[in-house]
Amino acid sequence: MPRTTEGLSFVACDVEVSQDGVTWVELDDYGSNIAVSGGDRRTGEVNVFSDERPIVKAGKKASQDLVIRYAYTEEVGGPFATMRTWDDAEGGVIYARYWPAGRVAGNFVFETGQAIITKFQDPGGEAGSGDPVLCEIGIKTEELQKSIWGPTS
Amino acid sequence: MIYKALDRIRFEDGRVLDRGKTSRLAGIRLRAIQFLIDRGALHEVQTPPLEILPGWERRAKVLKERAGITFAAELITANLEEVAEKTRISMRALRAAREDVLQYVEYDEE
Repeated sequence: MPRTTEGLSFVACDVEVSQDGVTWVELDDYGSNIAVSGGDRRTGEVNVFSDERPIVKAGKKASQDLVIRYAYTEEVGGPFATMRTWDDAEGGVIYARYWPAGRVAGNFVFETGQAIITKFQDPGGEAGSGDPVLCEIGIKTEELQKSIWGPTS
Repeated sequence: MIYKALDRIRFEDGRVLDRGKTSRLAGIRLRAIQFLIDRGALHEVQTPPLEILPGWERRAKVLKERAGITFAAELITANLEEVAEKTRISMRALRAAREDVLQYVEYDEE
């Protein structure tokens, strides 16, 4: 099989968050990193006296975690201030979605559906580096759903 | 026309068409539909001509002659008020006819 020419980097990724799944806040201009974890299928196993190999069975899948790192800013209506109010609200409801190859028709979009803010990081840093401050938001979702981003016009 | 999703599609306007579901995709422009067909995300569902459906010979002829409707999908997705005006068939009869046709066609959206 020939080597693929379709490999992607994450440089064109677009990401949005929402508190209601209807009105979205674009994080494209702030977000710098998305990390996905979880979703592993549990397995169970047991050994029996008569054999060296275990009996292995499939369990159910675990929830998924999404961590978005973004640039900390103090402007009114910026993502830090906006998402901090969401984290303070009862239940910490959030929706998130991202397009690894960019928000362009035909590309894949991964969506959390209604999810929970599990971690909201306030700014921290050290004096010397000069690096822009990044904050993290952790999100737990039942699953990330993959869709094709469909145009309407 | 009726279209079937070959992958889950999230439209820009927020609508979702789950994999395997069919829809007439009202409000989605043909150019966008063609794009998704070319992308392998959709395909057009082939529906039978009305004239081959049991008990439909006469009705199919009227619909074809007066409203240009030949295939089941065209009747299912048609504006029935316009069809009623062109064919002088009552809305009640057209709704019943559409219900009858839906027995023969895979269609998830009313």
